[in-house]
Formats: sequence, C-alpha cells, structure tokens
Amino acid sequence: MNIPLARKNVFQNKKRAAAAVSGIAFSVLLVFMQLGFLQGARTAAAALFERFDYDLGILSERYKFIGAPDHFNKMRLTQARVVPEIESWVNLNIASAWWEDPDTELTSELMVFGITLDEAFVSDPDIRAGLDEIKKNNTVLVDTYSHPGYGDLSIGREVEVNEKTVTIKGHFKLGVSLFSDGCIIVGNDNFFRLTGSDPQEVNYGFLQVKEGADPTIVKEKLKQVLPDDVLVYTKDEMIQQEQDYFISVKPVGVIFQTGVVVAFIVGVVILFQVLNTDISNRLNEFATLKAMGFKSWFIYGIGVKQALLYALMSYFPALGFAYVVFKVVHALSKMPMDLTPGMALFVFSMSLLMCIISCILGLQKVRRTDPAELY
Amino acid sequence: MFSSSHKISIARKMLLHKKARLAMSLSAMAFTVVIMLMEMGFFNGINDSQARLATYFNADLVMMDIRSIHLNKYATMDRSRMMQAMGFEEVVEVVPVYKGLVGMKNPQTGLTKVIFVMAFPPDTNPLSLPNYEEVKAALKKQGTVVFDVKSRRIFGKIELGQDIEISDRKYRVGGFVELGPNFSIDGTILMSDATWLWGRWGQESEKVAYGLLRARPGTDIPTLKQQMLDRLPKDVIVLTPEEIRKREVIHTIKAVPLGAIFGVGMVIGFIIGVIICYQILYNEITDHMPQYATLRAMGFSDRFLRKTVVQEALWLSVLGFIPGLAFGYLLYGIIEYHTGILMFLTVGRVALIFCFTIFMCAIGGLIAVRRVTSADPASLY
Repeated sequence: MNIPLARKNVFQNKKRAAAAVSGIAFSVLLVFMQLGFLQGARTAAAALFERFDYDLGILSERYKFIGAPDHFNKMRLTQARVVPEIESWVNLNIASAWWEDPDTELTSELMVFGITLDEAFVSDPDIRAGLDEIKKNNTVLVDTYSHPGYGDLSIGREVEVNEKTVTIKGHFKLGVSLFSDGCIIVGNDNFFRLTGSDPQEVNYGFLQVKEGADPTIVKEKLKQVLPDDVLVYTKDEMIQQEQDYFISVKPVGVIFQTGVVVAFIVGVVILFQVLNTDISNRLNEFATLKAMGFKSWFIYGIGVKQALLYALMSYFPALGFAYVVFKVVHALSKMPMDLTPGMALFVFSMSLLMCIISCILGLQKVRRTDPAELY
Repeated sequence: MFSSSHKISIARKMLLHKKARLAMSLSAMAFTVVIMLMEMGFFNGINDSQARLATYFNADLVMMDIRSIHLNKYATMDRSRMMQAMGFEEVVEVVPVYKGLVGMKNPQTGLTKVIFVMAFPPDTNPLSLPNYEEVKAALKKQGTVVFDVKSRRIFGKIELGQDIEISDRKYRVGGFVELGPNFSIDGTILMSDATWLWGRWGQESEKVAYGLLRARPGTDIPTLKQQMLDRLPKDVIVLTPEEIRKREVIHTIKAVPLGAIFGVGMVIGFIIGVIICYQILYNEITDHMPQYATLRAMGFSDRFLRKTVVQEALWLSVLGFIPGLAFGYLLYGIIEYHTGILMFLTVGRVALIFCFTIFMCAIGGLIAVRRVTSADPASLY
C-alpha cells in the first residue's frame, strides 16, 4: 500500500502551497535573471571577435579592451610573415566618431570598425554579404542594434559620420551598448579617411595559420620574432581576456554573483519556512505515524519528498518565465540573453541544493517528535 | 462598539506569539529588503562611480571643450579660453587641469595597463582631498607622482618611493590618494603640470582638459555662468561641479541600459517580499483561527480584524526592514571595498526602499486579510 503522503501534505492547503511555490519560483527566477545578465555581459564583451574567423590575434601591449584598444605599427604584421606557418593576415581598426541623422540633426556617439575587405576572415554571414557593397568610398554597413537616435537605417540612405556624408549599404547585428550608442563597419580605406587616423597604426591584427599548423605553437614562434610592444593571443585567449576584463576587472561579475547568492538564500529561507510550518502543524500526525511503527527515516522521507515537490514545482514555471523575460530584456536592451541548457541545468542543481539545505535545517523537528506527547 | 482608542495591541501580540517562527519570517523579509537594496545600490553605484571625479573639483565653475559631453571624453580646450575667462572681473583664478590615458607598467608582472592621469599646478589645490597638503608637497618634486591606492589590482602593488614606468620613463611614487575606479577608468595617477609637460605629452601644453574657475567671494555663480556662456566663443561650455556630476549620471543612465537590468531585479525582489509577507500572515491567521473566531464572537467588527492584520503587516515591514538595512549596509561596505564601485546610502535612498517595503507588506497583508474574515465562531466548538 502506498499513500503519497508528501503529495497530500503539500496539496492539502492549495492556497498556501501556491504562495510557497510562487515565492520559491520568483527566487529561482531571480537566479536565472542574474545568471542571464552575467552571461549576456560576457557574450557582449567579446561579440565583435566572434564575427571574425582567425587563429591568432596581435594587439598593442597597452591593450585594455575594445573601447580602448591602443594601436601598434602595421610593420609588426609584416614582420609576422617571417614565421612560415602564417598564411595571411588582415587588420581591424576601431575609432570613436559622431553619427548624425540628417533628418533630426541629432548627433550620437558611434564606433567605427574598419576592416580589410577579405571574406576569408569574416564568419558573420551578414557582414560577409555586405563586404562587396562597401568597397566604394563613403559606404558603410550599420548595426541594426544601434541606438534609436540613429534614425532610419534603410539601405541607400545618406547620413553623416564625422560630418562626412556616407551611404548605408547593408546591415548587421552586433550591439555595442557597453561601449557606445552604435556602430558601423567600413573598409579600411574608408576608415582612415573618415576618422583621420594614421594608416600605419592599427588596432588589431587577425592572422590565419597554414592548414595543419597548430596555432599555439605558431603563437610561441611569433612571440620570439616580434618585439614586446605587441601581444600575441590565440582567438580563444583573446575572447577570454576580453571577457575577463569586463567580468573580473570592471567588475561586472561580482554584481550579478551577489544577486545569485542573495536570491539563493531567499529561496532557502522560503522553502525552510514552508517545511517548518508544515511540520509543526503536523507534529501530531508524524507522532502518530511513529507510534504506528513507522521508522524515523520514513518520516524524514516525507519531509524530503515535500521539499523536492516544492522545488520541482517552482523550478519549471521559473524556467518558463525566465525564457520569456530573457526575450523581453533582449528586445528592450539588445543585450544577448540566451537561456542555455547549461544554465538551466546549473539552476536546476541550485534548486536541488536549496531543497537539501532547507531539509537539513527544517527536519530537525521530526527527530524530536514523540508519540508520548500526543496525549 | 469598541472605540479604536481602546488600545490592545493585538497585532503585535499575535505576531510575537511564536518568537522562533517570527525570527525566521523576519529573516526572509530582511533578505527581500537586501535584494532591493543591492539592486538599487548597484544601479546608483555605477552611476555615482562614473561621476565621482566631478565631486572632487574644488572650483565654482568648470570650463571645458563643448565636445566633452562626459567625463571620459578626452576633447581638449585651447588654453587661450582660460585667459579669456580671466577677463571676467568676478573670476579671480583659473586652474588648468590636464588629463590623459597612459600605459603604466605593472612592476610585478611587467604588463602595461592603461591608467588615467590628471595633472595641474600643485599649489592650486584643484581637488578637494583630505590629505591635499601631503599631495602638494609630493607633486612639487619634478618627476614625482601620486598614486590612487584604490586603483584596480591590475597595476600591481605600489609602494611609497617606488619607481614606476610610464611610457618608458620612470616616475617616483611620492604619495597616495583615495579616488577610486569606475567603468571607464581602472586607476588614477596625479602629477604636477611640470611633470606632465616633461613627459611625452609636452607638445600638448596649449591644450587643457578643464579650466577650474574660482570666483570672487559673494559672486552670483549662475549669473556669472550665463555671462560666460554668452560672451565666450561657442566651443566651450561652463558648468558647476554639481552640474557636471548630474550630467554624468544622466549620461551614464542613457548610455548603458542598466536601469532595466536592476529594475527587473528590484521588481522580482518586491514580488518575493509580497509573497513572503502574505505567507507569514496566512500562517499566522491559520494558527490563530480560534482566537480570531473568538474575537468575532465577542462582537469585534470585520473592519477591526482587517485592521489588525494590516497592522501586523506594517509591523512586519518595519521589523524586516531594520535587519535588512543593517545587513545591506554591511554588504555595501564589502562590495565597495572589493570592487571599487561607490556604494553609499542617502536618506532618500533608505526612505525609498522603506516605502517599497511598507508597500510590499501592505499588498501581502491585503491579500491575506480575506482569510481572517472567514473565521467562524461556530467552528470553535
């Protein structure tokens, strides 16, 4: 005979169960949100590099992050070719500029990315498709995630960049709200003309190694060849260090990690409280069970099952809700918000942990139930 | 029937009946207060940190290039504008402040990291710092710099008297200040204008970042500001330090969409609070059903019972808020120490969260209140 005691206990008072579940669900949702923002900031920080296809990157030794990359002499890229495994290279340049919508005369900050128009190095399909369009003077691709103040971004429209008229020739999606109001991509010729920077000084060198060569070995060779005014990274290291800068140095990480911890504690406290109340109310029933000869572990089992039920009933609505909220936040802020299976799994294990801690704290009482006290 | 002046604090007594459970409930309330405090704190902290420099300016008005739309813009102004400012009778002093980003070598790791430099004539006292006299003495020595000890750890451990390398030149660290980093700046170095011009930046001596203006005592600052804006060329802007601070906060809010992120967190914290409060009161009412039924049997009105529950809710908000505030305050300190994000509470901010807490409990109480009127005297026996 099997009576689902835990389920009956949980559902005996439906209203109270609903309140408990929604309380826990919201704290789980808060955990999701904080992790989502953290993940979003991490993705956004290095999103630019993900758009390109390369094995090794060269940076100035004074490199800080995309917003302050500093520059190095283009000669270093020529020197890099001394290493025979290097197949080819391009350079990427960044400058801040002004965007003006001619209709509203509203000026906004702008990041200009100048690239070598070589499609072998571009992995993003939108940018790759636009490369042919921006060979001519004063033609640009614009990020559709740019600030609304940029105005109408239709293809063929003429706008002002640094007081020069340019034509929009295509679109891509990047999102640079961490650094500026928006961004455009232009060919390097246009870049140096629009920004007035020195064409001999570049911000990033992207290199591809020959088929079969190991990038980490080539990296070491490059380091020996090149003077120490530049840094050499593999693509993964470059992305890693860009993310670390934001997450650890800035430090965006701690903000959201604190949020996760506090939300977790709230979840534990709510679950504990629910269990505790329920057990106090049912001490007599538990004592009766004991008197009937049920072992303590059986009674513990009921408590654990109840906690588990609460945790599961809270987790799934929270997961669904988080999915919706992520979509909304992405639509509002253009921040990359992805609910990955890894994140879902991590939060699930946090819910289980919540359940375990609250059981350990809340089930102390059961041990003390004494059938003799019943009368 | 029973006048409300006849005070029996039933609300408090009901709540205090089971102290251990109350303590637990309050800790849950306190944590929701902490969530709201943290979310608000991070939002304000980031904005305040961005604007921090403005709060140090020791001046009546600050003059800068019109393109310097925020504090991390490195647009410079022609020095001649400062001379023009001196032409105003009310202006007694104009202090040039240079600023820039330079690469400083971490003495431990040898890695170069970008650091913010501010330079000015040491005697002019342009920043309100508690230890300015020391700073002044140190800066007067050519080649000596003052390092911000709150700079991020990427610059390494810097000792007094140590030589640090900036753009292949050595500078001696002659003192320390506490300024603090933000999202744009990782660390700060102060130096004299002479040291600055001696560095590789010499060719820019005619270009300054800020002109700090000091007016004759008793001058009406807004009027002076307006006159200057009217009469000076349109390539400069004149603002009070407080206006710069506000402008920076507004710029940061617009530039980085943090409001949404922390706003969502705060709303969730608020909802959790409502639910917890509801749950506490619901349990309390369930436990005291016989008492409430007795009260009804005695002839107390439903209004009285409702009032009791709402009072309990208000008690909860106050009792939950106090430990929450204390814990939040502690966390603010820890986070500021470890991250350099400026986290502080003002009366207004505390009041805001307190209002939220009361509001949150009031909602929870109003939802729970329906249960108390279902207390049936007949079911007592």
